[in-house]
Amino acid sequence: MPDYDSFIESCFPHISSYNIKSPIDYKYNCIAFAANDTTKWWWPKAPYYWPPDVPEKEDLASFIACYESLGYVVCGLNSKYKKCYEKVALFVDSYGNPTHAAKQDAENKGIWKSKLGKYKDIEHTLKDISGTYNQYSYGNVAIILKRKVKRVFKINRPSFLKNWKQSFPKKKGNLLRMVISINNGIHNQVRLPAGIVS
Amino acid sequence: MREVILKEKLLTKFSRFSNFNLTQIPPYLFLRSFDHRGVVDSLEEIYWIRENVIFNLTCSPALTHRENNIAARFSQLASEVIEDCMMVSSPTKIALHPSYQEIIGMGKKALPLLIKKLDETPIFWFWACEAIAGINPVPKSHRGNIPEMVKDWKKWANTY
Repeated sequence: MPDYDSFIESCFPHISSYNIKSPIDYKYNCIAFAANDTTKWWWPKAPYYWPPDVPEKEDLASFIACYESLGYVVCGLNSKYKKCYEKVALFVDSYGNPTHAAKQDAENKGIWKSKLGKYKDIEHTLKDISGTYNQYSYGNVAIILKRKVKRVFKINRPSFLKNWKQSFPKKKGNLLRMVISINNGIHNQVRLPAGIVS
Repeated sequence: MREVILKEKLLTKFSRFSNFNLTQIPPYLFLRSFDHRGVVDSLEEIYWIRENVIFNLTCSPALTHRENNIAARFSQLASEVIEDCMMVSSPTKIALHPSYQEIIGMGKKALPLLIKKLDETPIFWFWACEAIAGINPVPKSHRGNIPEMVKDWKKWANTY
């Protein structure tokens, strides 16, 4: 995918470095993308999707409640990357109306990602898309929320299956200690519940 | 017989039109053109003609010209909205765009154009469709599912 998009650069004059990660897609917006949903358009107004039991009001409190319903907690304006945490930054315009959401993956070492309305989704810094240039700008970050993610381990399944009896002797109790090996070959990705592995 | 006499009188007035046809005069021109002192003997005749003559408005060049103008104007306004609001997630903000407001102001004439536009750029036009049609045919289970919402509107448009 080409890394240069004149339309993006015209909308965000201060954008310095960005990577385009997807083509134009009308099916989802930034709010959905930050919630890891690429199948629906999220907005607190019919006929768009909004999580159940979350107030359908177009204010910052509703957006915060939306992400809190997904397990996020408010962490002020701390945008620094923290291992095993994914973050969502909510933008508001000069009137305090929510305009945009960007997300920071737990695995990407601090890179922020955004779906630009109906347009493409890009990797960027928060400063790249902040600011008020016209009435359709995203404004500035109002709040950041974070959520701990479950750890993802890569297990070399063939050797695991071959040696598991020697590697994982039976122990009393319910704890199972697993040897994690990371290879360059094909791995099977296993998501374990938090707390199983010490 | 009376109609023939009146037509003859009109011909003298509209002789410059080679394809003069009584049924093709738009109503708003009809009364104005019918200066009863010059063409007809009394105002009653004007009213009688209006009651008895069927105006084939689909043949009216004035109306066809108006329809073409509406489609062209809609296309221009839609392009402005799409360009300005491509990066905008808020349907409220899109709907407040001046060109979007003008599209809603077009009323039911814009509805077929909006339904057609749903195929290209669906997310922009749901608000306008609902504002003009006065109805939202999207069920709760389809909320946010853009392809299904487009299908719901098209289904409604077919039965409208």
